[in-house]
Amino acid sequence: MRPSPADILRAGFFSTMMWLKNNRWMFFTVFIWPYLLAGGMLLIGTAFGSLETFSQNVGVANPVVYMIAASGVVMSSLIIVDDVANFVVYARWVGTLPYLLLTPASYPLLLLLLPLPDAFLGSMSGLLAALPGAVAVEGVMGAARIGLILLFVYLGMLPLVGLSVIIASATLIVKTDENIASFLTPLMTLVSGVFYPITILPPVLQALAGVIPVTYVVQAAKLAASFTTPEVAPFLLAAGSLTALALGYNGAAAVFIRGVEKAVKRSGAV
Amino acid sequence: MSAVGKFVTIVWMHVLRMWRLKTSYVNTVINTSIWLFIFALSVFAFTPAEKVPEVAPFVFWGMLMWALMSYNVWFIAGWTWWFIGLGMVEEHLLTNTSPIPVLLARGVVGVSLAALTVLVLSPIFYFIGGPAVYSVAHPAYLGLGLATLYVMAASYALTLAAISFRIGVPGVILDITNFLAFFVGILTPPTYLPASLRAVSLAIPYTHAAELVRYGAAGAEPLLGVWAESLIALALAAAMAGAAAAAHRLALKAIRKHGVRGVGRM
Repeated sequence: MRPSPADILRAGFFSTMMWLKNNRWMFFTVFIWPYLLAGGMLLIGTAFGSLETFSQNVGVANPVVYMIAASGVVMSSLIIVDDVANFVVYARWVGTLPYLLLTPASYPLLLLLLPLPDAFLGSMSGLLAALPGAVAVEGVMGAARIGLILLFVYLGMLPLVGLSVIIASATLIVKTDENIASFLTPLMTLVSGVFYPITILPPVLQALAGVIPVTYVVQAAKLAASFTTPEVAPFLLAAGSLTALALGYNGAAAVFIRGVEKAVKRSGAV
Repeated sequence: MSAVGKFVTIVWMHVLRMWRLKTSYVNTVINTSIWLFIFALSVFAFTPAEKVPEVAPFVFWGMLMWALMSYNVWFIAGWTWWFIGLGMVEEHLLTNTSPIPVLLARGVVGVSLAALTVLVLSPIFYFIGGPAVYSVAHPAYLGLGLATLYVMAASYALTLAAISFRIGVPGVILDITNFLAFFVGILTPPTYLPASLRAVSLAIPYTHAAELVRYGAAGAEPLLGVWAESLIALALAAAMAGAAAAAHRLALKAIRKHGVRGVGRM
């Protein structure tokens, strides 16, 4: 019997829950990483410079809230890419890939839906972890900022999933147990300008930033950490860019994944 | 086979493995270089433009020390997970080969990765901080600092490996302790830290090696003085190496009696 999309999502969710149950340490670190990262950056930043210089250079009103939120954004975005893009590599490592490919489910659906619950829950916990810190510093306003950023993280998830499916499909063709695409996640963080202004990057990287979804999520996070009276236009611009990227990447992924499916059925994937 | 012959064989096997996983190897260098570059840019975002040339050498040498420490801890202690899981501890003991040199020789991978990462980062730091980034004020102290840092990192990794022969050590512990050591001990000189954190920094062994590196490279006077820091760094490195050796002796004794924690594929 061919499993329905709901069955695949349920299996992915169950697998995530069992994994968390058996790896409590990892679950714990999801909640402390944004604080470790933000605390470390603030510590070395203020040791060598000052918060005022950071506010001026990056253009945020509250550097502490921004650092906590930005660390959450980095964690959340990386979890999405890592879960979906590296799904094939992990399945190959633990030896489940042949079994997954033998299931009667459509291969594109499997690749897209199975890692999705983990990506969704992981990205949510990454940013929700930043919530207590933001509330402690700014109260209700801090919570509102985090809520707004979370909305953008989920909007950013749409193009990121498309991009990740392309990477995962490419990994399937390469037939190696090495994680060939692991440099993509730090590269995305680098060009998104999460802890510094994007303008200090070389022009090539600035151009690349335009097609990386995380850039617009970071842009929204910077706007959310800056405003006192909300301005709608810049948020709409970031949302529009993410929607355009979502259409582009998912369209490309739909075409690419079909080609890969044919190639894999012809020559195998292991 | 003689002990030297065995060690050369072990190093050769690690080099072969490194060659077989060359894509991952290159990926690791690129990956770490980008992360370190992100951290460096973040520090400079806090620094006023006129202070960047002064701060750049500290950050550059901090990144180098992080690479040396983190790679060796991960590629010795982190790799033990595979070593145990594949049943290789038992295999080596059956051929009368101690697992210690096998783990210690992983330093070949760690040191070569650190060297390549620094090679990738060097031109970027030259562009940011100018030639002062590479100036070396006291080469002997720089060498002593790097050597003691390496011994400390390798000893810490070997101690964790010995513990993991008996009980599970969560990998995230390596991440968190490395991260704390990086921010409080390695990257930031104690004189730059708030007074409340200075004591924490001085309690981290790597800080003393890092103070020597900063003195050797940029001539930055250590908080406790050069001689005191040299003695402390040497004493700590020796103590940590001794602790690692003792931990392995105990672990091997226990393994011979009760077996390795993992079942393995024997």
